[in-house]
This record gives sequence, C-alpha cells and structure tokens, in this order.
Amino acid sequence: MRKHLRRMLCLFALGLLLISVGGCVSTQERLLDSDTSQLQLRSFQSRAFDTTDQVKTLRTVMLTLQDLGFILTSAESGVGSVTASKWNRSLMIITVSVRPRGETQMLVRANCQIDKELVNDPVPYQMFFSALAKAMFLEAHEVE
Amino acid sequence: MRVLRLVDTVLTLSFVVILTGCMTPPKPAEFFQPVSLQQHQIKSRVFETSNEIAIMRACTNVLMDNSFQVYEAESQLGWISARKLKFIPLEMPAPASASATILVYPASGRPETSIVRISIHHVADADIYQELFARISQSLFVKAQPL
Repeated sequence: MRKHLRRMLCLFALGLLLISVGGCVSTQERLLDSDTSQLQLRSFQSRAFDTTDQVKTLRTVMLTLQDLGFILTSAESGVGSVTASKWNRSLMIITVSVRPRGETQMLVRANCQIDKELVNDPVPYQMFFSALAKAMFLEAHEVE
Repeated sequence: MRVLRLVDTVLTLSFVVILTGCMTPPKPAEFFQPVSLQQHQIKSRVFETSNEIAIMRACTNVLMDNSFQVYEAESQLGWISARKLKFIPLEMPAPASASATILVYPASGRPETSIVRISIHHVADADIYQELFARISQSLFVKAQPL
C-alpha cells in the first residue's frame, strides 16, 4: 500500500513538472505561426502613402519611432531603411523600409521582432502605421 | 525516505518553474504606446534657423563635450546616434551606458526654423535636456525655444 502511494506521488510530481515546463508555450501562437501566410504577413506589414518624397517619409518614420520610445540604431537614406530598438522586459527590434510604389506612392514596410521571434500579430503593425499616418498627415492605404 | 525527498525536490522545482517560467512576456502592442506630450516637449526645442548641418555640428560638439561617442550620423536624414559608455557625474548625471538619438527636422508651417529632438535612453529628467539644449544654443548662437 505504502509502495503504491509512493509510486503515485512520484507520477504526480513528474506529471506536474512536465505540465509546468510544457504548458508555457502558447497554443495560439503556434497556430498563428502555421496559419499565417507570407502574403498575409506582408499585408500586415505594409502600407502605401500618397507621396513621392522618400527622404521626408523616412524622416517621419524616424520621428514616429522616436515618439514611440524607440532608439534609432541605423538609418540609410539611399537604401531607404531605418532600424530601431526598444527594451520593455524584452527587446523589440523594428526595421522599416521605404521605397517608391508606382509613380505617386511610397511603400512603407515594417518588420518587428521580439527576442529574435518575428511578430505575426497584426495589432502592433496597425498601431505603428496609425501613428505614422498621423505624423505624415496622410492616409495609410492597405496594400495587397 | 529517499523517494519522498526526491518527490519533495521535484514538487519544489515544479512550483518554481510555474512561478517564474510562465511570467507573461509583454504583448507586441505594448511597445507601440506613444510617449506623453510632456515628455515630447521636454525633449524638443525650436531653433530659428533652417541650417540643419550647422545644428547637427553644434549637437555633435555638445555630445562630444559630454563624453559621448558619435556612432552614426546621416545629414540627409538629420540624424545623430551617440553613446556614452562611462558615467562621469560632473559632466552629466547619465546612467553607466546611455544611448542618445538626435533628430533635426524642419518645423512644418514655420519657414527658416528647425526642431531638434533629443532622446536619451532611460533618461527622463527635464533638467538634463534643458542643459543640453542650452549648450547647443550657446554653440549655435541661436536661442532654443520650447515647442
């Protein structure tokens, strides 16, 4: 009887350990990983603005990022890219590229990583583009 | 007895893992909360000149006077990135390592004026920014005005 109780206790403890280690991985995140197509991700990450001024757009991107508390780590006007980081219990790195889209628009694409994991959630991208559109005084058009 | 001790250790470990391992990391959207208007005003000043290069030179001088190393600067974007690695209390009460970003850009609707925005990571003290703007102003011979 005592032997049986010990074995039960052992099994319970091991089960609890396995649940505590494995339970932290969010199922929802895993589902998002497998379901989010490249096209969908690109659509979250991109917006078009009705301007042809690449430098002004880049400058506004930099101001917006600074307003949001990011530290700009690199910027290059020729290529049209800006990288910035922000520490908030984890490290987020954002890279934003700006390039012409047709003859009347600039395409802005943002790519966020938290602790080297790509951010698939559309909400932070929406928040970034909403702040950018306000700073640009222009509407952010969704692109396919 | 030994088995009970083992069970006890495993149980303790499980609770430690539960308590520490499942601390939720911040949601990505938390990174995009805007900085307050007050912080924005503390970190920005208007200068009555459109000469961005002259402003950037003055900023670089002030940064160097305060033992910052300038890592990158892009005149076309009006951007300077600098870092101070060592804490020198007499010059500036900054943390042991401080990253500074300076942006210089034209003030919209105000010709012949530029806005300088300084952001030093983890530094929110208004006096530090006030002092920096005063020194840039001295170096530039142009008065710094609030936004």
